[in-house]
Amino acid sequence: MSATVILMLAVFGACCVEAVEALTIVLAAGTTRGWRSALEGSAAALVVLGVLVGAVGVPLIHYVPIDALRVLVGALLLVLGLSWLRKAILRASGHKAKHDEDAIYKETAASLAAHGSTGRRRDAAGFAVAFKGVFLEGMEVVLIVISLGASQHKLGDAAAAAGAAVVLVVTVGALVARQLSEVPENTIKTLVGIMLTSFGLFWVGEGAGVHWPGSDLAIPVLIGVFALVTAGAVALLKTQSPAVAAGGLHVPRTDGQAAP
Amino acid sequence: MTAAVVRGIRAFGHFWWDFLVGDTPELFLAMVVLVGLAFALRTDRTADIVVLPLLAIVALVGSAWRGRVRPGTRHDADR
Repeated sequence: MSATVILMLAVFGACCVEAVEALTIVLAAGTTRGWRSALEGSAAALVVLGVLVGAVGVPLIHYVPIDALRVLVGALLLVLGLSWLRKAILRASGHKAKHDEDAIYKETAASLAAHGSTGRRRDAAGFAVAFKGVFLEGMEVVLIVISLGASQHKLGDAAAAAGAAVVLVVTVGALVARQLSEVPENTIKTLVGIMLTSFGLFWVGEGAGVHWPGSDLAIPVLIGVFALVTAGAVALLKTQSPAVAAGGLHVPRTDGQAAP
Repeated sequence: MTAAVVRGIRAFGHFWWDFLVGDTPELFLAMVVLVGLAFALRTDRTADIVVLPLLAIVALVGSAWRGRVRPGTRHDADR
């Protein structure tokens, strides 16, 4: 499997996870405050995110030396990937509450409904909540698209993979008319975390002048190593988990912020 | 106008602080050490391809271990 395919899969997976979280918020805003404001807020956020990719990503590719760029984005991906993996390990081993889209939807909808009724005109609260939800969840995707895309000079491919994920999630969300709580978010987040960590480590090394055996072939090897480490860490922490005996924990995230 | 700019800068800084450090400063520290080691060990072909992944693994497992719920402690929903 080539590095480009792994790159596309990593962007696609990361974008699916964030798109599901953003869609939950947009659905809550749309059903409680009106679809016009929610869709306008979402569209505005997507435009801002798209401009960010173009404004930051394109100059990075053209003006920053590739080795410096790889160290920089490798370091960013490493922090992001390790952070996602840590969270996924804690969730899978019962040390952290799993993300509950149904609960987040209900909570957001109840909070918006408390603002009072809205007519057919534009609704500021609905617009703001949808904009914030899409923008915050999308920022991590933008960072991943720019990092992965710029490091391999595949910004267009990375952006296309992110766009495809958004289209898929929105289409499925529209078809099933719900907030995709069945999506195995923790599993996807684990896989993407493994890929981001592997890419990050590889590029930090490449940028610094390390010669990985097999060049790009080292990426799948690193992915395999981190997959094994993740499985081992989950097994180790399960033996320490008070939640396992209690049947697991399912507490929704309540901060409304993009979780790394 | 000035207040809005200050607010914007503050929000921007807050975002990056949360993104890079947040509640896992050990991972940020590991990344800094790892980048330093990558430059320091780049001439040693064997050491770099062993030490760099090893450090990342130690940081990940150590951080997850630190984040585990211990008996008698409060379960933090989003730590």
